Parts: sequence; structure tokens; C-alpha cells
Amino acid sequence: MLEPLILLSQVPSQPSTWDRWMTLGVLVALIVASVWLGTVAQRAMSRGTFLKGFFLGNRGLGAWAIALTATVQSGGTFMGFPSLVYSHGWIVALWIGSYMVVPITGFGIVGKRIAQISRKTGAITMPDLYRERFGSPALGIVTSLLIVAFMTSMMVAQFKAGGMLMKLAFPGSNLAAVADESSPAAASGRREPADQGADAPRSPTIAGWWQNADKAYLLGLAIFSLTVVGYTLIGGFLAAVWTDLFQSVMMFIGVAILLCLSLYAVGGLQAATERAIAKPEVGPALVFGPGLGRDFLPISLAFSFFLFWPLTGFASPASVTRVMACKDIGTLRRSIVILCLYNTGIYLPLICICICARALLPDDLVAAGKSDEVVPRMALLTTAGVPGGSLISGLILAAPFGAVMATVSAYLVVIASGLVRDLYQRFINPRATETQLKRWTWGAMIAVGLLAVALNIEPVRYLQAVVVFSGGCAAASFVVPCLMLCYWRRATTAGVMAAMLTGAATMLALYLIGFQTTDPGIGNATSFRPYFLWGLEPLLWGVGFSAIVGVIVTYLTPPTDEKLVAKFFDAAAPEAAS
Amino acid sequence: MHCALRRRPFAIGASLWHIACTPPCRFPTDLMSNPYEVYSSDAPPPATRAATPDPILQSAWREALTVFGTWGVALVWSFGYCAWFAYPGRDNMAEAAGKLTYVFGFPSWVFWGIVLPWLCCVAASFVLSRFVITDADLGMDPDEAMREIIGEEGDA
Repeated sequence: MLEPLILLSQVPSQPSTWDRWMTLGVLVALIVASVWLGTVAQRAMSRGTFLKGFFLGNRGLGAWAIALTATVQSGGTFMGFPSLVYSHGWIVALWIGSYMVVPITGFGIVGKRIAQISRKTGAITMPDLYRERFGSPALGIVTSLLIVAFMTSMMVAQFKAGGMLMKLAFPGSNLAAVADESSPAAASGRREPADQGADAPRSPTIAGWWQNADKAYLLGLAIFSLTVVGYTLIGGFLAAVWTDLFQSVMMFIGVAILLCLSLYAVGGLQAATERAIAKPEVGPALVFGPGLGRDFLPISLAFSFFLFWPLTGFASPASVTRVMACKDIGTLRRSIVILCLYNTGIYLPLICICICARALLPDDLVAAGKSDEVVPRMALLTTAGVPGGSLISGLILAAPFGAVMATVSAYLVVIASGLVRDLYQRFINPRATETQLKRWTWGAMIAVGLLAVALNIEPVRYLQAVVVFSGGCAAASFVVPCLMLCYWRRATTAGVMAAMLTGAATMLALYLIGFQTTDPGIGNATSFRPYFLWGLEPLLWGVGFSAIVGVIVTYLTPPTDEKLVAKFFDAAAPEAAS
Repeated sequence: MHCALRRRPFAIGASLWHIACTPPCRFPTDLMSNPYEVYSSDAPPPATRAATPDPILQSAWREALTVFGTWGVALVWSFGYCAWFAYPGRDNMAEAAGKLTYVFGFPSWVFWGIVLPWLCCVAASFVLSRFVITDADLGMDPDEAMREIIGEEGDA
């Protein structure tokens, strides 16, 4: 089995121009298909009212759409996660291990109740749910503001990945340009191209700025933004869902092909591990905890992350919206199985691919600060010499691009619904016509898109860390309130609001403390880090304090109106049911 | 008490499960409080309403408990196994690497602590979604119901 390895060692790490054109061709095909799906979605949603069609797809999602569009895959799945496996070794399998229960926890804990309550109330958005369940407009607006704040920061960070990936695909561009601060190189002080712009001396004139600007990145950012905002604008929620579904299938195929090629090239998984361990810069730390390089995953964090991923899944605004849009319970049940198989087919193979990369790739990408490029590099390396290889590598490279587009479109819909449905229609113009709502929705999406582009003209730093921070804040804010909403009859508006704000405040406080303290040497290597109180991930503290405060405030405040509570907790009276 | 525990462990287990599956209107923290406190003075008597809890709520709560249980088992198995076998300590890594065994190409702790429980979770998800999570009529939302009424009247 040495032969493939010897052949691969002769392949240049930089792809040929033809490969670049093929890669670009596949990305353009992906873009065209996404816009086409947007127009099809626009026709499909026009049968209901604008709001329910645009933001909820008329509650008609099937099992495949629910399962594969729960926004579980983002740009991080194909850039940040492979980088971690490559940098820290097999222990990252334990870091991501709780994804084995994410499908069942994501839909099985609150899915049925959310679907039921959203139908009883006619809720279209997550703030609608809270407002109607507790009869409190104030709770609705607090939910909206938290969602808009956290989702916007997460979405803005994804635009950088989209622009960078487009830039990567341009013929003649430098493959090494795709990297973010999560790489140890950046943490240790070396600056990457994307980050250099952030603090470089600025020219006072626009002409001077344009001269120094990274034009390929800006062009990539423009194409990415126009595409993703465009098709989401046309087709709304259904466009986001259908393109997400299409892109998820592309990702699955890409990963499966890359796994086969990688294992063939290195001569099997055991050989990959043994070859990697034999490298002087790697050694036995590749196979054991707390990880290669630094103490990436001490036992306290391993425990934290077994709780972290399921917690970020089931109460997040994107997931809750999907559940509200499902056709029926049968759909949810089938979605669990589909998502379970899908996650198994994405994450375990990605771990194996990145371990193979440690054995195969001639350079140490960690030392070079390019560990985010593991998947693109493996795609180009393993498909060289294979018939139709450039097409296959294009397909594989389309996976991260699709993941980023899917994430951004899903968040765009959630943010626009928060602004238009929950703020404009509720508080500014309750009698807005369909045309007005449509115009405001389009305006909101364009404004959010422009804001994201403006913030990324000088690319945001700390991409991966911002994503983790936003996801953690959203989970800390909504996990306990979501359980109270679904299952606790005694829960009150004040209790739920206190739980939300306590979760968010705890996360913010631990991050603020983390900025002021020295690197504890655990977790991901980044300066955008939280304070790991007792070595635990801040989300656990956020959820814990949120639960304590929520329960205490609930018992200190008068119960919710019994008529309102009975609507959600008691069986309908026979005459009402009939 | 000890005798009772020895004689009827299954019955006690069943009773605990029954308490856990009691309609969530009295669970979790309401069990600690006066159940009457949640009802306002003009509400119907609690006994009337407690007798007719929402069946979807009951089944959803029971299923949620089962899912939490599955999560707990996965945590104990996966995290427990890995914590025991994947952390030999920095000083002992070279020795541990020398003794490392592989199962289907995976380091043994990865296979027994991650891959196998992951596959078991796939199987458990299938069983839960097929046999534990029950179907239920979610009803219509108010807009839909209104449109249907208008549609019917229009048709008439």
C-alpha cells in the first residue's frame, strides 16, 4: 500500500489552473442551483399568507427537510472542526462525541410540545411562542432582541468564511489565504492575511484603501453576499430549507468520496495513525487526551462538551423554527433517524480524513498557521491523478461553501422574522398589509446583509470563537426558558424572563473575565476566550444559573392566568374539541 | 423498609417511573409545592382539571424523560470510558502508545468509547422514534382553521 503514498508525495500542494477553473465551475453551479431553488420556493410559499409562507413554509416541511436543515452543519464543520482534529488528534472525537445524541435530544425533548403549542397559538416565530404561551408582549420583545443580537453576530462571522472560500476558488489565488484566528499560529502572534488587514496602518483616502485592499476577498464577499441574500429574499424560509437540503446532500457525497480516497492513499486508518505518530512534530500525543500541542480537552472540558452540543441544539432559534414548521409528529420521528445517520456519516469520516491528513500532508499546517485548509488540501491532493479528479475536488470544496450559505440563509430568515414580525408588526404597525410586510421583510434582509458586508470589508477576527460564543449565549438564554415553556405549568413571565437574562448575563460575564485573564492553556487557542470557572465550559454555568434564578423568580411571582395555562396543559373540553 | 426493597425492587422501580411520568402539570417542582396555589380563585376545581391533562403533554413528557435517560447512559458510557482509558498522562504517553491496540483501525479507546456507543445511539434513536415516540394529532393553527371555514363557506 506504499505506492499511493509515494505517488501522492509527488503531487504539488498547489492545484493547477485547470483544477481551479473546475472548482470555480462547481461553485458557480452550486450558486445557480441555489438561486433556482429560491425561485421554486417562492412559488411554493405563495399559497398561504405571506408571513407564514415566508417565515415558516406554511408548516409543510417533510422529514428530510427537517433532519438535514437543522443548521447542524456550518462553515465550522468543514473548516474549524477539521482544523481541530488535525491540530489536536483523536481526542477531538470525544470533543464532538455528544453529537451521537444530538438528533434524539434535538427533536425528542421539546419537539412534540413546540409543534403542538405553535399550532395552538398560531405562532410563526420563536418570540411568538413565548408571547402567546405567557400572554406577555414584553417577554416576546426580550426574546426577539436576544435572538437578533446573538444570531446577527453569528451570521456576520459566517460572511468572512463565505468570502474567503470564494477567493480560494478563484484561479490564480493563493490557497494559503484561507485561515482564521483559531489556528495556533494566530494565537501565538503570527498574523494571517485575513487578520493583517484588521490592524494594518489604514490609508486615509478611499483610493489608498482600495490600493491596499484584498480585492479577491472583496469580490468573493460580494458574490457570496449577493447570492445568499438574493435567494433567501426570493424564497424566504423554504428557499433556505431547500438549498440547505441540497447542500447537505452535496456535503455527504463529498465527505464519503474524500474518506475513500484518503484511506486508500494512506493504506488504512491504523497506518495513518502510526505514520502520524512517527512524525517528529506529532508523537504519541496525537492518540491521547488532553490532545496534541496544548491541553485542548482536559477531562473537565470533555465532560462539558458532552453536555454542550445537545444543549445548543434543542432550544436554538433555528431548530425551534424548523420544529414549528414540521408537518406532523411522524415527520419528527423520521427526522431523528435521518439526522442520526447523517451525523454519523459526516463527523466520524471527517475525523478519519483529518487523521489521514496528519500522515499524508507533507507540511505541518499547524506550524504554518494553515490548519483550516486541511479539507481543501486533502481534496486536491487525493484527487490528483484520479479520472475526473478536478471535478471531484470541486465537489468536495463546494461542501464548506454550501455549509456557510446554508447557515447564513437560515439565520437571515430568523433575524428578519424577529425584526419584522416581532418588532415592526407587533409594535410599530399592527395593521400592516401583506405588501407592507413584504417590503419591510425585504428591507430588513437587505439591511442585515449590507451590515454584514460592511463589517466584513475588513474581515472579522475570531471567526470560530465568535460562532462558539454566539451559539453558547443563545443556548444559555433559551434552554431553561424552553423547558419551562413546554413543561412547567407554574412557570411565570417574570421567571422565564429572569432565566433568559441570567443565562445571557452569565455567558457575557465569563467571557468578559476571560478577556482580562491570562491564557489558561486549555480549550481552543484563541484570545477570544471565556473564563473556564472550575475548568468547565461557560454554557454549563449559564444554564445552571438560569435554572436557579428562573425557579426562584417563578415562585416569588404570582401564577400565570389559569385560563391561559389551561389552554396549553389541559385536554380540550369535548365541546371545544368538536 | 429494607425487606420491602428486597422483595419488591421492580415494583418500586415501576412506582418511581410512574411518578416521573405523572403529567407535568404536577412535575417537576410543583410536586414540592401546594398544587392548589397555581389555580386562581375563579378557576375550576383542580380535581376536575387534573383528571384531564393534555394527552400530548403527557406523552411528550414521558418521551423527554426517556431521551434524557438515553443522553445520561451515553454520557456515562462514552465519557466514562474515555476518561478512564484516553488520559494516560503526559509523562506516560510514550509507554501507552507502545501498548496501543486498534479495532477496525481506530485506537481501541476511540472504538469502544466513541464509535460503538455512537452506533448504539443510532440504533436507540431508531427504536425510540419507532416504538417510544407516539404520533398525535397536532391540530390546526387558528389561521388554517379560519381559512378552512371560509373555504367551506365559499364552496357552499
